[in-house]
Amino acid sequence: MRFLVQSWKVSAKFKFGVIIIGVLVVLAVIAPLIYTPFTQGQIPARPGVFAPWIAPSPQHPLGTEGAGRDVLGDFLGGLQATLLIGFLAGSAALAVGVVFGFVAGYKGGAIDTVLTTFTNMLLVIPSYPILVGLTLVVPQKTLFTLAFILALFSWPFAARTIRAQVIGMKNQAYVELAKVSGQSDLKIIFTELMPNLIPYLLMSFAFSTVGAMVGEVGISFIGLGPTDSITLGMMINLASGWGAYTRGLWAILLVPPAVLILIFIAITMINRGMEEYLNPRLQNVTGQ
Amino acid sequence: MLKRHPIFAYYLRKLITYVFTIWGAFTITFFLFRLLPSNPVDAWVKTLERQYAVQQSSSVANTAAYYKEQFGLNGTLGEQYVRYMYQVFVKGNLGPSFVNYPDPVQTLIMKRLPWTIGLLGTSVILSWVAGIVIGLLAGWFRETRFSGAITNIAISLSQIPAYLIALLLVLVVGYGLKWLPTRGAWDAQYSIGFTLPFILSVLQHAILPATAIVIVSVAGWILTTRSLIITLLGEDYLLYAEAKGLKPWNIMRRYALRNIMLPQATGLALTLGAVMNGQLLIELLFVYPGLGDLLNLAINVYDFNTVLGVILISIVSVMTASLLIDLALPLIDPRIRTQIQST
Amino acid sequence: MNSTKANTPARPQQKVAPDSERRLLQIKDTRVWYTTVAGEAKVVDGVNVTINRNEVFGLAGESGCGKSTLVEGVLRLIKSPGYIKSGQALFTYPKDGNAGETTVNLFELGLGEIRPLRWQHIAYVPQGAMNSLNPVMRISDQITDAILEHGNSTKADATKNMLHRLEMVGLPPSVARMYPHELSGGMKQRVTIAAAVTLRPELLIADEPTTALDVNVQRVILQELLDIRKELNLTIVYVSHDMAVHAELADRLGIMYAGAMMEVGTTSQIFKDPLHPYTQGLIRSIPDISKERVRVEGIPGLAPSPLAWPTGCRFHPRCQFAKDVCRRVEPLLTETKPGRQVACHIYTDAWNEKSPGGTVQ
Repeated sequence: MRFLVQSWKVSAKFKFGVIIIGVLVVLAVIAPLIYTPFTQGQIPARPGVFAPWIAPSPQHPLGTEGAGRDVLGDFLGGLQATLLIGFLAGSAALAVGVVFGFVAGYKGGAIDTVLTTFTNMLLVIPSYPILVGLTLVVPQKTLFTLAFILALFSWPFAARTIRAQVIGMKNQAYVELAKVSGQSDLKIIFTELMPNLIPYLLMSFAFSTVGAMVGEVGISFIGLGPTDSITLGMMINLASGWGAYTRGLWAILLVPPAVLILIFIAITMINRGMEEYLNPRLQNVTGQ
Repeated sequence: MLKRHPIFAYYLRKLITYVFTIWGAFTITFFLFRLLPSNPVDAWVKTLERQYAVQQSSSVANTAAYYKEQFGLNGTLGEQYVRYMYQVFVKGNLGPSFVNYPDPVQTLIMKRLPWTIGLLGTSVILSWVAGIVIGLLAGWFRETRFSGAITNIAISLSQIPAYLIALLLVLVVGYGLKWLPTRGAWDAQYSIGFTLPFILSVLQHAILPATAIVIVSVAGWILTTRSLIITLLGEDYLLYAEAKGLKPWNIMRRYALRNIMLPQATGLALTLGAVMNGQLLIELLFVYPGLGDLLNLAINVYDFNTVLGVILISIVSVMTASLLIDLALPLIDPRIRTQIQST
Repeated sequence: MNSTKANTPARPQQKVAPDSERRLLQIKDTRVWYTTVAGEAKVVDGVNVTINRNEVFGLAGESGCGKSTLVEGVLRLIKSPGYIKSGQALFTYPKDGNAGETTVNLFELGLGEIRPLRWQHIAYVPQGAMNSLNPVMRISDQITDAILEHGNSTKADATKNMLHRLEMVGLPPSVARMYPHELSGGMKQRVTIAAAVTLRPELLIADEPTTALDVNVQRVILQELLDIRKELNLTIVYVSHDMAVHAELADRLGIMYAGAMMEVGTTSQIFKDPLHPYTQGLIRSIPDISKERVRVEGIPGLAPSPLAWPTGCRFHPRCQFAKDVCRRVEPLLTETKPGRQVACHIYTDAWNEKSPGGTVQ
């Protein structure tokens, strides 16, 4: 926690990113509650509850789209789904990455060799075709299963980063001391290593989250998104399907990619801010 | 022999890792796809049944069995695996494609590879050069407003997927302003050949996809170069070079640029090796006739042979790039050679 | 080379200045500060000292006293957040060959104006030779690049020059083709010395060049440095915390403490008759190997922080003679006899005055 407070104080980038993500999360959580009455009780609205292509009006601030849903409702629901997928997949990837990274880094030896080789194999497989293959056949393509599939390809990177940090840290004097004094491995991991690794865990989480969201947009972009909700990536796909350009529907065309870009920038800024706090040399102006 | 010549042991270890990782990654991929609850022939048979309203008759089963043999889908999973590995690694045959039956996969890949390499390779090299130049300046003048602005822009762009940028470019430059074409690799009115109109058309079609890739990847090179330079600026030998009275331009060129060349060249090789991984969607968006487009075509009909072939190309190029670096580094950098010999 | 008489312009002089013709570098009231979050760190805070031609001037003091920062200031190598707050460094050198000598204030020169002076007139042997050579360049290129940058010698001349200098420090020509990591620490240090004298500079500033080396290598290198100095008629400013090295090498010594010059004199004067209580402590702390049981006496107390030097005399918190006047009034560096200066109230009239607070001059 102290680390986050310090990063907030030191880095304008971190502040910027946190504020943006904070606003978007609040929007995704609270706005649908307020907006539900406009969409007949559901966000996004059920297809066909309204007539398609209603022009923007007080009832539908951004109009309705081809399937007869309220466009603003789509946005809010899409934002919610996209952030949720990123969060779920990022958490899952972090969990697996932590287990792999800690076991490989802390135990070393043959276990490390096996785990690292396996991780490296996964890292060289291009993930996109496999993601597509899996999403094509998965029977119940809900938001959760999609997040799970995305996590399958996000964890190796987290594992590798965490392993490197664990190896760097386990040779430090205070860990050696704990070992010599006969503490159990688990106790050392949780009392000595984990607290010092929190910044790196947070960075791995942010990184996996971005990776998963990029993957999700890619999948949804070609029309293979979850079947139980609308994501921002799917909105892009739907927009091109409806000929949104010829209809001049700039809101549908430009807002989803713009919001996605904003999310990616914000998370990158948060990551960078933490990095700058850990390594002040990276800051723009040194030695103020 | 290995004990006496650590450098041999080093090369041997790298070579074993290379072979083993390619085998492992490819095996994982093979089984992932075979475990999918469908395959090209079954999917096709289903379509047939639906189209002609035929029942699961013996004649359909016979046809299916014929094609399963053609695509190596008969027998147990183990048999399929052994047969496929033998066919690919011993005979050098990736099998027939389904999307363009009976053309073998390698023919399809060869037809599309030049487009992918041309577009992605050129974009990566362009971004590398530009990123190093901009990053060098941003690091060197790190306390200026210019450097701060460049860095912030680069950080913002660095993690955005290129296809989102591409999408905006298509919308604004392609559809909105109508400046540049957004589909295909050349204008259909020209036939393929080394003629000026054709080449110009190819270049014109490459501008938008290449720009999208360059915008994102140049940001990454700027950031790595800048941070390498900033680390370098704290080195004693840079201060010493200044004390020698060398011109700043010479210090920048002979000391700073030279010293970051090794990590950055390594990075370039790795990126070129991995070039196909990230940018497949770009080809899809621009309907560009490269490997990404082929992969998309193939995957939608479960064309395992083609998908595995493209993935194999990708895995081998990533691993080969990193193997070449591992083999070349001790030859280029005397420090690494000494390090290997002392362990 | 330096046969022409100096035409130093008249400058405000100290009370008894050394012969102005012998004067090579005159550092006046120099302050080098660093901006930190905790305020200004006054690392060098009011140094006055004069370096004469053809002498080895030893700059001594505990680590953190500002001696390295002082020479970096003179070399104009101070990087942000450090800066030269005030002062002068008047350097006299033959600007255009033998046409005559000019005196410039190094602190006032622009970076483009200081660049031609470097190496040709003021050369530098850096503190950490370990890290001062570019790891990816051959030794030869790192020496000849400076030769080629200044003046218009050909590549062949530069190579000949380089090989000759390597020979002077006892390195075989094969070293030229090597990379830094292939050399030992002593060899790297020799390379930096060889590189520094390629252009026969008037002034050579050596910042703790032998500190990281073992004693045997240290001795050999010091001897080589003395030989080179004799052969090339160099003036050397030698920075070291090691009084034993100074005893061997230096003609004159300046003792720094807390960013200021405490005492200046010939080496024998300083060792035989140290005036400043701090110098006395330093001399006492040299282990005496003639005694059977070595008992080194240190100076009690800790070195003060450059963020807040003590008021009055900066040494007073650690000085056994400190009186009320020492706490209130900063003693100035004052001549006790020609060529001998000390900044201590004991050697002024104020010391015996009954009434406290009298001005000390």
